[in-house]
Amino acid sequence: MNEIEKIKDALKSSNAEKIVAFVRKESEPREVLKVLSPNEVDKISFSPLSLNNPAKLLMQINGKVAVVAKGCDSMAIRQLIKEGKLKRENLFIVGISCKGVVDYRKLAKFVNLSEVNDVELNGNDLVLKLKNGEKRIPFLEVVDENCLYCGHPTPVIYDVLIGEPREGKRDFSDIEQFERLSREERWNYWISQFERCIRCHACRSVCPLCYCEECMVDPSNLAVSPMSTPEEKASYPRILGKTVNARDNTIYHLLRVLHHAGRCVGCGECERACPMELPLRMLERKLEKVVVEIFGYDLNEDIPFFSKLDIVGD
Amino acid sequence: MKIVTFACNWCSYAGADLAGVSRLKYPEDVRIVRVMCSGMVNPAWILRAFRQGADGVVITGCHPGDCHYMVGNYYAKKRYLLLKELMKFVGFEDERLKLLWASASEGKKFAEEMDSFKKLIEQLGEQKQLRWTP
Amino acid sequence: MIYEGEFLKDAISKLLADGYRVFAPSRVGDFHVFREISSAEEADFNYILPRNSAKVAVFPQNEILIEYGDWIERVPMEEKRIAIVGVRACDAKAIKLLDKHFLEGFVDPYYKSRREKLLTIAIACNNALINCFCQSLGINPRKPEADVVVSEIDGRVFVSADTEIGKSFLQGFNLRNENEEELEIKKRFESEELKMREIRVDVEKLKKSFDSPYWKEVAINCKSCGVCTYLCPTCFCFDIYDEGEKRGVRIRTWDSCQFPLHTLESSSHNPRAEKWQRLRNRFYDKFYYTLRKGNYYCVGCGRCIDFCPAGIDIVNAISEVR
Repeated sequence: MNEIEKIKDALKSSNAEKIVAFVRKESEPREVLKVLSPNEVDKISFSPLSLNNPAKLLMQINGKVAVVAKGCDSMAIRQLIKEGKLKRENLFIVGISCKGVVDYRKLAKFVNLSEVNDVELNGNDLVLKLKNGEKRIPFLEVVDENCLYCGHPTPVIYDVLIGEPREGKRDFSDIEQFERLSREERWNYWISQFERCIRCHACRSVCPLCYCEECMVDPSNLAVSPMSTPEEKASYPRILGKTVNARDNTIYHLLRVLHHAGRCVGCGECERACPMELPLRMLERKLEKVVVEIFGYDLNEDIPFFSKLDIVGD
Repeated sequence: MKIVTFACNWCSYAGADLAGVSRLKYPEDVRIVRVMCSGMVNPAWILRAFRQGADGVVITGCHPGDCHYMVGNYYAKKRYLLLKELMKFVGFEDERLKLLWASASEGKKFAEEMDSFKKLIEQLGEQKQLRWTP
Repeated sequence: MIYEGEFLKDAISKLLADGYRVFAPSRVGDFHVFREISSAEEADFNYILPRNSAKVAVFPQNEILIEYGDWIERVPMEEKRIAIVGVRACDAKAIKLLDKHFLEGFVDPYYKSRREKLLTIAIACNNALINCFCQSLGINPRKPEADVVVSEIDGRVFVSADTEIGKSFLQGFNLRNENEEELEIKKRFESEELKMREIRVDVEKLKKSFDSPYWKEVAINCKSCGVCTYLCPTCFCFDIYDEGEKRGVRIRTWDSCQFPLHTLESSSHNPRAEKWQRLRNRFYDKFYYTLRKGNYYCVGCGRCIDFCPAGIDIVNAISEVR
């Protein structure tokens, strides 16, 4: 029985009212998340192109849901349970021991995507079933860079586990390397990245942990009521406007990332969603490094990072 | 030079007050924003201050263990460290951000620390990295 | 007419020497973005579609409307001439559509000041991308509507100009007329259709299905981000706000109908509070509401499909409406 059959069987046994899983798009090999009813189980697919994190979708569904989750997805689900956004008893998690996912944009460089019928991982190669024939690409060349630093390829929370558990490793070598650059080099690097940002806020919108209804960087509408006077409205606090320039974008990204300290699950959705390909995960991973090395916090702890009242330094 | 200081209502603001009452001189560039607790100082305010042209930002609060609200300054320290590390990482001059524990009786310490911070900022010069210009 | 050499690069050098602000695709990492360039070397034409659209040249993401102190002190208007080099047929058509929005009825003076001084140099497409669908919207990707059109066919550079501005610009170049064989080649090139996706728009059906639960289904995975609208070459929504209390600037920035705050009213009522309403609004805005201006406001560039983090596909959503 192959992986996909196992997933379908597990989903069928779940008695859930809804299923959140990947479905293949028609025009390209991309897989998108869909909410399905139990009798649509046969539509689902799973491959190294199942990129997205379903945790955010779960938050808008009531009732019992079955979900297909990779390692990082399960991390996000666990974090949301920890923060009271999801209920464990409402979830049936089909965990998949993940070998890493493909970076869709890298893949597009190797092959004309409209010709790809199917994608599967075979050993160290990614096998693309094309309309005419087959093509093998070394998986390391198309793998999402984020997966190389994955600490949790095996789900941390699941009802059914598919595949052999795998060991993850924590690796901050690239961050350390970047830290060795001079201050000016670092600033120039980040400014050159951030000036590209168009502030579409996709990084914020796709992040499973960015669930606030009103974001810090939005023009604040805290308590606008019919009685608010124009003066009152004009004087509401505003952290950032909508202006787009390298400096404002820097502030936006620093703020966004700060809210993920000790929470970021490392799914890489922010980078995947970014149309301008900013290296956002680098900031998140830097913060993870601080949290781990300076505060000695472990993401597996039951207490959220900010609730811990230890003080470090003087 | 503009130095924005967030001073907690219970310790540091009283400390700054004591410095004034004792006629201790500290730089006039220091502009104090009184907050109820250092724990409520949002990193966004600090970044906003830099954006609006502050050359330095100081967060002052009660000594650890002395917080009026028990744990507010622990949060402050956490946020401060995270922001500082992140600023360092992106290449911002993170010396411009300072955390200072000053109790209500430490008027002298408050004035001295502000003096030395001002000197540091003067060495660094005007903050241009995050300052907003149309 | 035919040009020997790299026309686009030479055109940029000439434009810069003439004092134009030049917007052209320049390479960033593995992709291209339209941005203002200061030398011909910065431009790179080895691309099919840049990430952002060419609207940045006429409708920048943020622009200062007024500078104020005690009273309005300055109203900055574009003074330099602007050139967009290397637009594709879809983006060139989009600028025509933006004209309708900004210049018909209420005239936007800021847009007008830039548009009047605009020169567009377009390139005909040799290939289509996976999500291109401009042909089914009546656009010929090989015959863009622009001042100057460049097509590279089998190593030959064909240059033609349809407008007065374009013609006068071409006078500075050393061009030769095509021979008959080459005319034939160009004709064949322009009439050849590219292999593309197709969109089926049924306006009557759209009209009827406004209240259909279909839209909830489509939008279930929508993240309410602004990717689709910010990359869209025809999206024109903006927000105006003031920066600075006593002295400052009034700024116009892009806004996105996908953000919940876009339609929030002071009364705290939000007519499009749910994300499916907002997504539906975008689709209707492209294919139904804008019909009163005489066009679909979609040019089939496929950017919103390529970069939607949730994989929402406007072609499927519109074609399968029920």
